[in-house]
Amino acid sequence: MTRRLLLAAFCTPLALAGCSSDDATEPGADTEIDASTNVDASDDDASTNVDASTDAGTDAAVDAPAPDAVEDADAPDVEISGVSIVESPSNALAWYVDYTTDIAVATDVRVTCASDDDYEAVALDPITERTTHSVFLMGLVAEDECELVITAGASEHRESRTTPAVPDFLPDATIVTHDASAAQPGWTLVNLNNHFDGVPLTLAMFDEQGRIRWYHRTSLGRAGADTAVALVPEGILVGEKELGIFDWQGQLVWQAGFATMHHEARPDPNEHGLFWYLGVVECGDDPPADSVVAWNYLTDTQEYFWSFCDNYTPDPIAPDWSHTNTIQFFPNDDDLLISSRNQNALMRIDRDSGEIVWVLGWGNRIADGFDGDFAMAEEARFYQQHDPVFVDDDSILLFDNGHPTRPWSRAVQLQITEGPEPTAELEWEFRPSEDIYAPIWGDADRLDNGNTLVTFGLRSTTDTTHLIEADADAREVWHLELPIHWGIYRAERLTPPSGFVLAP
Amino acid sequence: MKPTTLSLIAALVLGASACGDDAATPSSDATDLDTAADDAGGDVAVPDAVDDADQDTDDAGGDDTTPPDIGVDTTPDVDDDVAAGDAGVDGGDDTAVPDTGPVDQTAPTFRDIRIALGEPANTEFDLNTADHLEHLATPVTISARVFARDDSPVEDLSVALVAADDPSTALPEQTARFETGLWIIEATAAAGTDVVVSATDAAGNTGVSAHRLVLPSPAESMARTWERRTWTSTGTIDGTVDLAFRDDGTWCVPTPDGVEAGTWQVEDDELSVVTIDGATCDDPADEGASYLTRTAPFHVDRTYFSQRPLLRTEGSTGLAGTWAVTVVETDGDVVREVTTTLDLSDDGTFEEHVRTYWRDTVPPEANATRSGTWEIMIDEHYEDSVGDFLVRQVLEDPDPEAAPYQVVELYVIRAGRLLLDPDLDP
Repeated sequence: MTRRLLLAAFCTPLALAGCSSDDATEPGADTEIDASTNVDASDDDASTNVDASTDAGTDAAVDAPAPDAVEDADAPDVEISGVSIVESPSNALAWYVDYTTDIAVATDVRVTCASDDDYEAVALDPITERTTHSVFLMGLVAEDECELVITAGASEHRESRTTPAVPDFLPDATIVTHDASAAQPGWTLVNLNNHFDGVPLTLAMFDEQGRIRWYHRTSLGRAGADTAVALVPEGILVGEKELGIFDWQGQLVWQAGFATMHHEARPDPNEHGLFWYLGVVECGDDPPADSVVAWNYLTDTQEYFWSFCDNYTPDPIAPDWSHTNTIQFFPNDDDLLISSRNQNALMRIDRDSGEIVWVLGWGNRIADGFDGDFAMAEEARFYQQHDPVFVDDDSILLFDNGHPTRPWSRAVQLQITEGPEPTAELEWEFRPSEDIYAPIWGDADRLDNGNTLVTFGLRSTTDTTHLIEADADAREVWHLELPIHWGIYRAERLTPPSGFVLAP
Repeated sequence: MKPTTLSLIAALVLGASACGDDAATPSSDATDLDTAADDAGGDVAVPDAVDDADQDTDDAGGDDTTPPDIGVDTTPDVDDDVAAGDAGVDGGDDTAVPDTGPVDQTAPTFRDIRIALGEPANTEFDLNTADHLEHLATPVTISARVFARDDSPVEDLSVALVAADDPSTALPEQTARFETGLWIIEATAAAGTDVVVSATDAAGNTGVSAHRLVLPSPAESMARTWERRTWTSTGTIDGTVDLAFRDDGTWCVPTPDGVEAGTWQVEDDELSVVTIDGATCDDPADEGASYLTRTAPFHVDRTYFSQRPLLRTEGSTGLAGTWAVTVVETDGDVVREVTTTLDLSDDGTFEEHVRTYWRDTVPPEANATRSGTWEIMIDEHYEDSVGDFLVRQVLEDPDPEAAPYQVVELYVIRAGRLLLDPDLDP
């Protein structure tokens, strides 16, 4: 099978501790090329290089030594021509760059924007067999002066452009707190919802300053609002009843419809192509209940199925009694951890037998004395929780939404001890200094530096959604607030790719 | 639990999209999705080529017999198409025939086409690998961002949104501009017209997008089986029935007492639904039976169908404001106009007024009003992720014995229309 070589050049580490939080430079509707200089180390033929296809003759090309290249005696002299910079049709903060070289040579392309010069969008192309080059660069800053540098052998080509504003359909976030010395570097990927204003499900990444650095409005019409968002090798897996994978160029590379899918589509940590989702199945005379399905998007086959119907009977039983919202994986075996919001409980499922091994939390059977299998102090109780995750072998971090009788939310980490007398003890919590009650959505992720990113997600006409990063001492080090009507179900902190080499 | 639809968009993963471009994925692993990689052409590199770049091996894709380009290439890089044209012109007597340059016989192509539709569709998609279907009840603004390619300057192209079945017909109210390397075209699109993108260069070569925006007529959009839901006071689904609008112009819906059925037609942006006494789903047009015809504005889109949406008469973009709809009912020889006006005030109170006006009948009209308070209830139930709820506490009702009571309705606002408990495409 012939394979196209696709190289992902990842951005330089986002060590932006010293980043300025200044706003972008003066907005400019004019996105014309400001300067275009074709630099050649040795060719003193001052030929003018006009790229008619893109620049309409506006770029003046000047051959001159490349400052960093003249030291390399082996670097060939290269003429870089036909440079075309085209904004991505789906994302104004990304460029397609095409160019040719007069000899086959490895090249690299970098873009830096004035207000964030710690970030470089980079595409490194080591292929030395081609003279026609094409790259995709992303993560630019809106309304900023950005400089493109193409390096080929001993030559450089430089151009500057002013990027446009992000479209009006995107929200303006507010940074409430940013302690750059303590926050985990990286950008935050979210699935933006605004049902009230009819906005399509939109993927976006916010930088530390709350600026949108990448976005894509999806075409998923029945994605719902409670949509998972996760990275897979092909791009971003997002959606619900309509589920899709979008690559960073905004291209829909896979799509499927799952009639009963809700809340969860989580990639398997060990098998590429496999993801786990929650569905709904009929349960005879009882109300429908949730199911757990593993689906392989590479082979379009179902690889696992489990349902509550044969394994758990709540009391009382009522419509939507399970309302499961998360599937997770135990660190050291195949068992599954699921989160049932309306049972206020986490459950361990033996993947092979389907048996529910234990229930952690209240259950919904308080009336008959059922209190889960773990002894818990009051401080460890959680309500209508979302997105539990193991942060070590016996500690679970989750978003504790709260309840109308306890109307505040928090992130909480529980240390669980299994065995004959299981216990769950409060190990850590983050509760904002001013309480936030997010009753229906939420997320809590442990970051690489030990901080925790907490999503107080809301869909509300009166209250706002908050993303807060707290350190190990439960101190708020980063806090982003969305405008009213905008909500986020889950958020992921990541270091995104910054550029790709495309096969010409 | 099989997917209802499933499509593997291998071409994009390949970077061999139908619009002639090379997309990439974040990882070479993505090529595992590739079901047609061998068709990707001979000019692609294989992963091994990274290591083998300096060797005269056959790993460099399909161009196996050509040594890698190493060293100085003294041959100017010339586009193949241009080169072909050159051959034709330069092959003659240059002194006798003025060199007018290569003959451009290459039509523009499209690397990426992104379409955004305004209300009520309010969606965005591409036309790179597949057609896109959208159901519209009203015309929408359409904005296309087109990454075109040609061997002539792209900014000199003429790029337009045109009817698919007649590319010479441009969509109305169209503007086009070139900025940031893209053609940005804005126009108005209406149901019943399929749309493609065309690009024409100075030599008259025209390229048309391989895929189209499909906009069925309102009648075609309606002809589906819709799910009619009822809701509990907490906003969970209480029950569902299937409402079938068939493309043969008949409809039927089960009722507790049996079935209602009849015929339907769309004319002048209004829907007429005829309910025929005694009709069944199998025999909906029982000639001679009495019938009731309701004619009103309607709404249909990808998800929702409403036979009688309320149209905004006052207010902003939210739910608060004044909404109204008039339904003309023909019941035998009796014709009446029923106008419902719903006033949702910012202070949380509402008043709903129903005026019935009989044509050629005395008394000419009757009025009924109910009032109370209203609020929005957020839909927390994933099965219902199609809207939120308008909850009204009715404190005064024409039937004094009835009030107080509560009304819970799913609501959606689309294109200035308030859809209350719309039927859903399940």
